[in-house]
Amino acid sequence: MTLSTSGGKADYQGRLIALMAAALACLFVLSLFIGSNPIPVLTAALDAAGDTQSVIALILTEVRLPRALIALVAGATLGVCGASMQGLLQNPLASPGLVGSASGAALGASLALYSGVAASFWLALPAGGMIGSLLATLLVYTLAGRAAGTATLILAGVAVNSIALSLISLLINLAPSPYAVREIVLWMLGSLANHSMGDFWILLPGSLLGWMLLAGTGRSLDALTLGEETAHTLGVNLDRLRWRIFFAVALAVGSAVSITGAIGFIGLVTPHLLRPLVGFQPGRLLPVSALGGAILLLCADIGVRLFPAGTEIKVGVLTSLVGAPFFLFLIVKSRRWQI
Amino acid sequence: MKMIDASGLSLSLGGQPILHRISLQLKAGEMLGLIGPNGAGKSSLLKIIAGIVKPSAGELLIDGRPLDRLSGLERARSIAYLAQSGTAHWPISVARIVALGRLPHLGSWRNASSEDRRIIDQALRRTDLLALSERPFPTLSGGEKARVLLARALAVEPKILLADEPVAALDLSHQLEVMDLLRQHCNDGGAALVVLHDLRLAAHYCDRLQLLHQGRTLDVGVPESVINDTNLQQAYGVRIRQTGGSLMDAFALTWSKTGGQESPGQN
Amino acid sequence: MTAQLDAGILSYECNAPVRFLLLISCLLLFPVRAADPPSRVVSINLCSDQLLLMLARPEQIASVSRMSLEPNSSFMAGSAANYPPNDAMIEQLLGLNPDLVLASEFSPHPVIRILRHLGYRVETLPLSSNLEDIRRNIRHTAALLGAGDKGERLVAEMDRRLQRVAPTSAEARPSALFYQPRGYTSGLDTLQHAALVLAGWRNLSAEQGIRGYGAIDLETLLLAQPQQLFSSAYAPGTDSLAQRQMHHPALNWITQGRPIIDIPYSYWICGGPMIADAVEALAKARLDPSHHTSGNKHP
Repeated sequence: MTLSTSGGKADYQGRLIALMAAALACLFVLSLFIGSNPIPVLTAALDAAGDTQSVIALILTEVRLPRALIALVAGATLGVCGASMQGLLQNPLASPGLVGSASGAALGASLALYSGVAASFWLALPAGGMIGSLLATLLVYTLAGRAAGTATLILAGVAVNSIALSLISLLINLAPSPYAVREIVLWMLGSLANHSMGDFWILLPGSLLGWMLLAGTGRSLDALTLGEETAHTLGVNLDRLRWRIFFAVALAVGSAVSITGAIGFIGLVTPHLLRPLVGFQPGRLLPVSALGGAILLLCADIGVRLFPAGTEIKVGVLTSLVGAPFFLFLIVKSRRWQI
Repeated sequence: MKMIDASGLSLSLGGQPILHRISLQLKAGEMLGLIGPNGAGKSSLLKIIAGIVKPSAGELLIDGRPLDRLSGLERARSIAYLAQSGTAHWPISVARIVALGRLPHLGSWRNASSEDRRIIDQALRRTDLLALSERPFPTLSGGEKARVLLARALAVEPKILLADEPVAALDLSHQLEVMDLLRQHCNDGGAALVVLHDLRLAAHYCDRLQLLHQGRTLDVGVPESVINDTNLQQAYGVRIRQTGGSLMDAFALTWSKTGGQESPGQN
Repeated sequence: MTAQLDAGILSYECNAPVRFLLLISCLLLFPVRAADPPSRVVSINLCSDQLLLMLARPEQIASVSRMSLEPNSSFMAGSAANYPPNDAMIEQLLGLNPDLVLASEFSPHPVIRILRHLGYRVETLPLSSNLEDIRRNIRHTAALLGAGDKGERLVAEMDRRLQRVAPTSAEARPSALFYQPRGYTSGLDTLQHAALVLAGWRNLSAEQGIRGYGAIDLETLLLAQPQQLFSSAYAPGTDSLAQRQMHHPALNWITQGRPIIDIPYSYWICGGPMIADAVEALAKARLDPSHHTSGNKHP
C-alpha cells in the first residue's frame, strides 16, 4: 500500500487556494458595489475604462477601488503575519495584535504624522509604522523569553500593548493639530474609510516586501513543529528565521497599520479557522491565511457599510465584536489542550 | 574514514561543567551505545554531535570535515537526531510528520518527488506505522509517537543516526523492532550513536559501548569488556550478581519476537 | 431715601414753582441709578469678547478670555492683547471685581451660577446663527455697555457692506459647500450658511438636508458636485489624518482643480460685523472669472 501522501494533498491545497482566490475576487467586486449612495457600477466601470470623465467613474476609481484594494492588501498582510507568528512561536494565540506588532506600528506611524515629519516626507509614515512595529515585537519577544508558554506571551503582549497605547494617547494630546485628539479611535480600531489611491501606493511596497520574505519560511516553520532542537538538526537556522519573520512582519504590518490603523483579530482568527483545512501544517497555512485574511477583512468592510447606523462604524469595531468572543473561546479551549 | 571523530569535547553550562574532554569515534557500519547514569552528560554529548549545542572546547569532525564548516543543509542531510522527549506542536498527521524528514533534501521550494514519497512510505512501513499514517499525532500512544519520530529520522536517510533513548516508551516488541531498525541502518553502511538506559539491549545490539560518568569517559570498548563489576559499581553504584559463566550471562534476559502481539491464551 | 427728603423739603416750602425747581435740582444732583454704564466689564467667552472689544470704551474693559488672543479664531485678537486675559476661573474673576460679566449660552454653567449667587451681574449672549441674530446681539451688547449709538453704527456699516456685494436676483447661484476635516459641514441655521447665501452661493449642505453642523460623507459630497469648496483652517501647519483626507484627489477633480478656498475662521466663528468680511471674500470667489462656467460643468 503506497501512500500518495504529498501528491493528493498538493492537489487539495491547490484546489483550496483556487477556491479562496475565487471567493476573494467575488468579494472584491461586491465591495465595489457597496457605498453610501447606490451608483450604477457597471456604467461607472465602462466610463472609467473608456476614459470618460463622470462623477460615478470618479467615485468608483477614487473612493471605492482604493478602499477595496487596501482592504485586500491589509487583510492579506494580517492573515499571513498571524500565521507566521503562530508558526514561529508555536503558539496558536500569537498574532500581530497580541505580540504588539500592530500597536507598535500605530505608535510609530502616529509619531511620524503628528510631529509633521510625514508631511514633508511621504515615506516617513510607513517607515514610522515599520520601525514601531519591529521595536514592539522585539520587546514582547525579549520579555516573554524564548520558550514562552501561552500565559507569558499574552502577558508580555498586554504589557507592550498598554505601553504603546498610553504613549499614543500622550502623543495625541501633545500633538499640535487639534484634530489629533479624536483620532486615537482610528489608530486603535482601524478604519478603511476615505482613503485614496495614494494611500494604497504608500501601503503596497512594504506589504509586498514582507510577503516575499515570509513566502520562503514555510518549510522552516514546518520543521519547527518538531521543536527548536530537532528543527535545527533539519537545517533550520533559528536565529535567521526569527529575524526574517520579525522583519517581514514589521514591514508588512507597519505599512498596513500606518494607513488603516490597528485592525484587530484578523491575524488571530484567520489562521485558526483555516488551520484544519491545511492539515495543521504551518507552511501550507501561509498562502491560505493570506487569502483568508483578505476575505475576512473585505467581509468586515462590506459589513460596516451595510450597517444601518447614521455615522460610519470603524471596521475595527466589527472585527473586535466578532474576534473578541472568538479569542475568549480559544483561551478556554487551550486550557483543555494545554497549549 | 571515521564518520564521527571527536576529541577533547568539553562543555560548561551556566558555570557548571557538564562534559570534560570527551573523545569519541564512530565508524561506518558501527552502532555505539552511550551508557551511564543520569546526569552523566550523555544527552549533552549527543546534542554537541548533532550541532545543537556548541562545545566550549574540542574538535568534532563529521566524515573528516569539521562540523561547524558544514552548511545547515549538509549537516541536516548527514545527521538525523532523535530527541529524548520528542513532541509535535501541531496535531499533524503521522504521514506529514514523517515527510518532514525529507526537508533537508527538499530545501525551501522543491516539492516532494515520487522518490521522496517512496522513502517516506518505506520509513512508515519499517516502523509499522502504515495503518496509522492519517492519524493526528496527539491521538497516538507514547510508544506510537516514539516510532513516528524515529520514522521521521529514518526518512532523512542520514549517514549518522543520533538517538536519545529511542526505546524508553516502547513495549518489548517494539523495542526490538526499533533496535533492529537501528541495526539495519548500520548494516547498510550508516552509523548510529544511541543513548540507552537498558544495558541488556545495549550489550546485545551495539558494537561498542562508551560509559560516561560525571562528564568523563569511564570506559569504552566492546560490551563484554565495558560491562564489568568495577565499572558498574563506580558508575551506577550497583553490584551485580554473578551466577557463573561470563558476567554477560549473569543478567542476560534474552527474548525474541514471535511476530506481533498475541493474546495471552496462545503460546 | 431721596424721595422722602424731597417730600420733606417740599412740604416745608409750600411753593409750587420753587417745589418744581427743587425737584429738578435734586434730580440733577442725584442722578437715577439705572443710567450708569458698567465700568469693569469682564468677558469669559470668545464671542462675547469680540463684541465687547468692538463696542466698549477701553476703560470699560477689565478682562477678556484667553481665547480671544488666538489670531486664527479671534477677529479682535490685536485689541485683545491690551487687556489681561482670563480663563473663566472663579478665583480669577472674583479678583477682577467686575460689575458686568459677559458670557455665552454655552459658557460653563457652574461658573455662571456661582457668580450670580455671589451677587455679580452675568449676561449671557445667545449664539448667532443668522444675520438677524447678529444684529440683535450687537444691539443688546451695545445697550448693556451704554454704547447704543456705536451699536447702531456697527449694524449700519455691516448692512451697507452686505448690500454692496449682494447678488442680483437674476444671477445664477453656483453651488458651494463648507468642508472641514472629518467631513464636517454647515447646513441650515449656521453662520456659514447665512454668509454663503448672502454672497450669492447655494449651500449644498443645506440642500442635502443638513441642519446645523453635521458630517457629510465623501460619496454624497462627490455626487452633489459642488463647484467650490470653502474651509476654515483651524490649525494651519499641523498635520493629522483628518486634515490629510481634506486633500483627497477626488475633491480636486470635482472642483475642476479649483483649490479649497480658506475663509479665516475668525470671520464667522462668532456672530459679529466681521461676517461682512466673510461675505465679501465669498462674493469675490463667486465673481472670480474661473467660475463663469455655470451650467456646463462636466461635458
